[in-house]
Amino acid sequence: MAVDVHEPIEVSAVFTRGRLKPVSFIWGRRHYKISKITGVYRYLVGASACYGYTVRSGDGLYEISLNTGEMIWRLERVHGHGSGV
Amino acid sequence: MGPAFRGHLCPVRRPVSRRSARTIIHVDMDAYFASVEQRDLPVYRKKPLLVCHTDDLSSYRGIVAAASYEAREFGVRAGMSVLEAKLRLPGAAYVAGNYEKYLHNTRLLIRICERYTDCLEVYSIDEAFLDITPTARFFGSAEEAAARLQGEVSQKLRLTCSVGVGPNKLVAKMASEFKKPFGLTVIRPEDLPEIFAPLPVESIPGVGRRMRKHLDAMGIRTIGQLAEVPVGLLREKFGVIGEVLHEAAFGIDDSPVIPTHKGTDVKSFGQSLSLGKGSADIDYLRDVLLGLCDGATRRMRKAGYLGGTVAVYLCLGRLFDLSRRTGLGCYTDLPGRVYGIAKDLLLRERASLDIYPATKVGVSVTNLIKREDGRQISVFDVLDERETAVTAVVDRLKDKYGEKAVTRCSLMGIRNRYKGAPRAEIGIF
Repeated sequence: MAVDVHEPIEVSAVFTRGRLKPVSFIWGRRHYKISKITGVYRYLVGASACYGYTVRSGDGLYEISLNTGEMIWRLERVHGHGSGV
Repeated sequence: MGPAFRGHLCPVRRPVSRRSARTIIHVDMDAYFASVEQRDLPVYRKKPLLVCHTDDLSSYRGIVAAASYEAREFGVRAGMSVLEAKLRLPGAAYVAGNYEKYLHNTRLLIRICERYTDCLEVYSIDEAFLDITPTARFFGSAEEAAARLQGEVSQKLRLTCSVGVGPNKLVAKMASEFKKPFGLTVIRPEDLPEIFAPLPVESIPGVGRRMRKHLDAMGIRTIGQLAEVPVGLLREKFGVIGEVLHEAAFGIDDSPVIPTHKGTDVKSFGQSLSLGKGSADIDYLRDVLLGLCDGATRRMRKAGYLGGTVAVYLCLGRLFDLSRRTGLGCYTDLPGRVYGIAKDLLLRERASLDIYPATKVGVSVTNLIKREDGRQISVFDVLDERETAVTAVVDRLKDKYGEKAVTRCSLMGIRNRYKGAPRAEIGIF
């Protein structure tokens, strides 16, 4: 089952081959290392480009987003085993 | 027992297409929303997954927007209420629809389709028609082009689609339904009678439950039986639709593939809200209507249209639908003017609302003209100056910060103020 979170998080990311790739994030003082990006999409909020990522960390799947207008990363949703929040 | 019209003296004349030979491909993504989620969220792969249109997944409100093939085995389908789905399939995974993500994938799909023809009609978020009459030879044949397109979608998007190839949009669309998921069906004009005749009438796109009932009452259950009915009889019974049905029974459809960039004339802008069990609270319904007018007129302004007629739709209980419309006396795209008229139309139905709560409210603005065509200046225009200025600022804020950036005070916390007043599904038409 999915759990909605919608909280700002700290993300470490790298620019590689013309793409932005999140590699880890900190949520609630816990560090999550991203093992795989399973989905990416782009959308607009007003004039700001936003990027949505679905990432795997451990047993959990996390939906994170970056609003390039605000330069804020958010954890939107948690799925699967890691969703015991 | 054959149809009741058998023995009719007028012989059935086979309609003839007025267009030259065409080759159309219809691409239909398989269980689109659910497949996108299963691709991105591996925990839901090979499991019953329901993508829901709801603001609260823990509740029973809202509707199922898409069901994975695993969920469909249990009889759960798109369009079903979340309540019914949870009763049938309590153990399934439920996720809220992420329409930005689906639109992103649709844009990628369009980009792939554009490599096959420039005559591409994006029919819906998960369907497209391609007229490949002039370009099929570059791929060997239409069938090879369709197979290649299907493979490219599968490889680049990691999603499956079903593809139909036919001499027109109707046949191509029906063909894509034949083998799902990941099917490829080619129907040649000479094979049409044999393939179409045994199919049920509801397999014709556009023939819904009501039409099927009417046809059933006439003893028509298959397309073959429909083809035997004289066009005059169908015209008499169903008007213009009767002629369309007659042609469809023979697999004839002359409608063109309209390239999306050319667009079609917009007829109306509307928005509706389903209210679950319903509400008779007139203050709540007025606020809902105001929000709907805001939404509809915002889209009008973005598209550059002014409207001259306002209509309000109400579903009362589970039995009655009613619509009331009236002219604005001028052309406008301002929410205040549209809401003023819509509210009056709503209040006129107060007596009905006392008996049956409204389960759905909708507003639409019709009688449209393009803004650049000019606007007639009415005596009320001077009163609109303030609203015009405020609306322009609100539009700029929304353009920059998003649709949720600013809202009316009267609409803030609308759900909390009206406890028990449910918000289920917003529709745009």
